[in-house]
Amino acid sequence: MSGAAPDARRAFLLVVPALALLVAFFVLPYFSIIIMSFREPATQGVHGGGFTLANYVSAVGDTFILRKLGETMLLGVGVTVITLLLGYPVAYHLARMRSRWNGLLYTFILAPLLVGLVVRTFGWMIILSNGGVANQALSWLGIIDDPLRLMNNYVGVTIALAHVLLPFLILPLLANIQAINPEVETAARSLGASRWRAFWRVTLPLSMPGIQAGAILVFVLSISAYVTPAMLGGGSGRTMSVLVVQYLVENFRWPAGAALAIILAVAAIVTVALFFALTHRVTRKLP
Amino acid sequence: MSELRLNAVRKRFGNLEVLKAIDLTVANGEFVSLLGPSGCGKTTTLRCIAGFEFPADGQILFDGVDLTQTAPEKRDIGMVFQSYALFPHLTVQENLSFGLEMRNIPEPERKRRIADVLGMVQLVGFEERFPRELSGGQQQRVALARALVIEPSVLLLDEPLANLDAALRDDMRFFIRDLQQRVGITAIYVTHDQSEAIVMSDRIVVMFDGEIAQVGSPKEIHDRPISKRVAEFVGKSNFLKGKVESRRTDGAVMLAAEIGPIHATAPATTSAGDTVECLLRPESMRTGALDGLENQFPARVEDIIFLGNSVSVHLTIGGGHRILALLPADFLAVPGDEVHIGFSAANVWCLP
Repeated sequence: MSGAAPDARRAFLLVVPALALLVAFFVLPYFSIIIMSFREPATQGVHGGGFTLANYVSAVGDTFILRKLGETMLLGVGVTVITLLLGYPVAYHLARMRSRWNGLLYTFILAPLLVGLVVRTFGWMIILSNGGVANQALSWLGIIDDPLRLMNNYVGVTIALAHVLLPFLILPLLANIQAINPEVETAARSLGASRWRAFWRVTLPLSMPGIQAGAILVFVLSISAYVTPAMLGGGSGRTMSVLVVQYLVENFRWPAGAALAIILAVAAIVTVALFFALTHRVTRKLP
Repeated sequence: MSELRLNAVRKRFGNLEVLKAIDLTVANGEFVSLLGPSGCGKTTTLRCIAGFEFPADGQILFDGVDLTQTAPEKRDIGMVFQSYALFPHLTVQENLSFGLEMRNIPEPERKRRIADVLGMVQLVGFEERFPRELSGGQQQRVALARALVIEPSVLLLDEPLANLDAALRDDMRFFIRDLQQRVGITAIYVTHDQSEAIVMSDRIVVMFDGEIAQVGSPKEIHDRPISKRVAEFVGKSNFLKGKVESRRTDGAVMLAAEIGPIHATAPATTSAGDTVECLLRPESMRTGALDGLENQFPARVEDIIFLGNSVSVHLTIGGGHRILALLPADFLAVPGDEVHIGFSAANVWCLP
C-alpha cells in the first residue's frame, strides 16, 4: 500500500487545474449569490447592511413568481420530452445502422450548434412570426385562416430550444446504445418477443443511463436558457432566467434577483432528483 | 420436437449471392452441424431458419408447415448466441422467465420449468445472480437453459463455444451434446471448428461459398470427403497422385502412385485408367506391427513435433515425397532414422 500514496498524489495533480477553475469561477460566485440572496435590499447601494429572509418570503408568497417557476419547470420537462421522442429514434438508427448516410445525419444533428445563438434565434423569428414563413405556408395550404401565435409565448421558445438542444440528447444516448450488444434484442425475438416488446423489455431499460444523461442535460440547459426565451418568449413566454436578469439588470434588485436564482436552482435540483428516483428502479440493476 | 426442411433456399446481399439453393432436411431429434469457413453462408442459413433473415427464394418448413416469411417470435425456436446475449439487467431467474412470460405461461409452471432446466445445466442456486456475476462457462449454460426452458421445436446454436477457453470448450462440447440427447431436441449447430463438428454431430453439412459441398456423418466427411477442399477443411491431409491400374467391384483399386504401387479405395465413379488424387489422413499411418496392412513403405524421419498425447512426424517416402504422420506418443525415433510405415487400403481414398 505504501506505493499507492505517491501515485494517488500524482493523479490528484492532474485534477488541480480543473478544480481551481471550478472553485474560482463556479463555487465562489455561487457562494456570493447565496450570500447576496440573504442581504437586505437597499436603494443607495447593491444591498443593505443586515441579513434577512425577506427576499425568499416575498418571492415564495408571490403568485406571479410561483407561476413563472411552474411554467419554467414545465417548459424544461416539455422540451426534454420532445427531444427524447425526436432524438431516440435518431440515436438508435445511428447506433445500429451501417449506412453511408450516417455522416450526413451527424452533420444535421450538430448543425444547430454551428450557428451563433442570436443569428439562430433571429432565424426562428423569421419563421415563427405572425407573417412568418410557417404561418404563410400553413395558410397557403389552407390549413389555417388566421395566423397561429407561434411567437411571444412558450410555443416558439419550446420549438427553438428543442431544436438547439436535440444534439445534447442524441449524443449521450447514441454512445449508450452503441455499447448495448445488438444480439440481446435478437435473443429477445428468438424467445418470442415482438419487435416492440423486445424494445420495451430489453433495449429501453438498457439505454436508460443514456436517457438519464441526455434528459438531464436538456432539462437543465432549457430552464437556464436566456437568449431564446428573451427574444422569442415576449411577455407571456418569460421564463425564470429572463425574470432574474430583469431583476438584476433592469430593476437593480440584486438581493431579490439572487433569491430568485437560488429558488430556480433548488427547483431544478429537486426535479432532477425526482427524475433519478423515478428511473432508479430500472438503472439499479444495470452493470 | 420436429423435422426441419429447407427447399432451394436462396439469399442475396446486394450483388453477392450468399446462399445458392440450399437443400437440407434435418430429422426429428437429429444434431446437424453447419461447418465451413467464415463467409460460407452457414450463419446466414441459421438466421434464415430463425427468421432474422428472409430468403429471396425457396421454402423453410417446420414439420411440413411453411414458415419461410414468418417472424422469428412466431417460429418456436430456441437460440444460443456466440456472445451469449444474456439480458444484463435481469437475473438468471428473470432471463429464463423471459421466454415463458412471452408465452403467457402462469407463474407456478414458470417456476417449475426454470427449476427443472437449472438442474439440467447444473446451475441450481444461481437464480438471483446477474450475468456479470457468472463465469463464461456459467453464462453459456444459462444461455442454453434460456433457449431450452421454452421447450422449442428446434434448437439453433451459433458458434456458442467460440468465446470460451480451450479446456472449457472441450467440456462444453460433451455437455451440449449430452443435453441435446437427453432432451431429444432437433439441433442445428453452426461452427467453423471441424473437431467440434466431428465430436458433436449426427451429421455434418460442409458449406463453401454459399453452397453445400457435402452432407454426411462425421466419419464420412472425415474419411470419404467429396473433394480436396472438403478434405483439407476437415482435417490434416496427405495427397498422393496416381493412376488407377485396376479396379474391383467393391471399390478396391490398385494404383500406380508417385510413391510406388499402392492399394486404395475409390468411389463408383472412378474407373481403371483414371488419374486420381488420394487422401491419406496422417492419423491412419502406423509404425511397428504392420501385419495386415496392404501398403508398407520404408521411410526416413525428417522431424518430430511432440503434441502431448501424440507426435506429428514428417517423413520422406518413395524417393523424396514428404508426408505427415500422426503417431502415438511412444514413437521413439529421431530425425534421420529409417522406419517402416504402413496404412490400410481403406484409409487411402481416391477423391472423386
